[in-house]
Amino acid sequence: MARDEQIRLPDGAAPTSYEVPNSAEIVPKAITALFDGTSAAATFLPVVEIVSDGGVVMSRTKAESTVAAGGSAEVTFAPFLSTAGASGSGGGGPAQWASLRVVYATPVSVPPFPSASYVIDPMDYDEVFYETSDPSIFSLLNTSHTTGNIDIVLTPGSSDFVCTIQGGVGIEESGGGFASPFNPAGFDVFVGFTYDGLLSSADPNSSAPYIYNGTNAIVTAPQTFWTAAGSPTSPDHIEYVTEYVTLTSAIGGMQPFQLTVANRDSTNPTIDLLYAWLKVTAFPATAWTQETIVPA
Amino acid sequence: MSAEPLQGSLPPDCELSAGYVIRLVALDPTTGARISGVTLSEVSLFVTDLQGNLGYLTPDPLLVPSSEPV
Repeated sequence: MARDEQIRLPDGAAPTSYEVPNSAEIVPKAITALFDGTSAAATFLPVVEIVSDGGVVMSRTKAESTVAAGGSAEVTFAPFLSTAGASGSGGGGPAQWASLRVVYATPVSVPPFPSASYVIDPMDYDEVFYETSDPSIFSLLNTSHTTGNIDIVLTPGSSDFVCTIQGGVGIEESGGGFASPFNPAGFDVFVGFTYDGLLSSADPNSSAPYIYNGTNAIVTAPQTFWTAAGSPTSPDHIEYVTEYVTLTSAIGGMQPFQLTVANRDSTNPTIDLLYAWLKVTAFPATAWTQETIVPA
Repeated sequence: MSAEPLQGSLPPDCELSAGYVIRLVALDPTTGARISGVTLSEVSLFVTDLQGNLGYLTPDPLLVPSSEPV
């Protein structure tokens, strides 16, 4: 039966170590130690290493800051303790998120198709709700555009994050519901999520916006929820939820996630109510790395 | 001088079997080289013993096997 134990190690010069004995199996819950650097040769980082039975360093976890020569530190290591992950500087940390909900309650008349695609100006919203778990990472830019987009912005310098995006749209039209089929030429209503290109040197095309679709491929048009011409068919109210979209690269710099809405339904040109929501979750890449360090 | 309170994150749910080592070291923050002159005290590992056969282990010399037959 599993039980919790405390193991004390002898005082002495660093490094010190504990080897898991034969027929034992443990899960570290917390490690505490006093690092006395009174006679330290230089500034140092208190570190916990996990070494495999083959002598390979599997994990190296550092304290949140260095200790100057002559100084001392009482250090506690435990899962999810570090605050460093929020700044992307390493050490893990919980995921952070930002969510946006935009409501257009004022009826909008849409010009007949195929005169043009009609984009509802996101700035014409009636209500907008924005929340974030960490305003130092995410911010909302909704005043810098005259048309087109509302942006959730990842703060410049917030690198080493892996992001997922999830969103949805709900819509109601006047006149007894949606026509069936919708505009057979293409999208009738869509919400686009635009990811403005990677700014790192690894970006193969940093000058152009990158847009990710539900299969995590890079496409050259706005990400659309409804990809089949003529769909969906004639409900009064439609709600659609995207798949998770994962940005698999660590990112750096200012990264807007843009929300764009449009209607091209010539048969029923008035939208009574439209709302869209978007949630971006940023996982510290360092935390993902740590979670993979689990011996077989 | 009082000790500065610091913290760091451990890998969660990290099961370590026999032969694995938990090691506390003082490293150069730039090069990763070990820094000499640092001493460690009050070192405690709080662990979940999955097999339930670990018991309280200390560096107490009483744990050293006796040379006398029992």
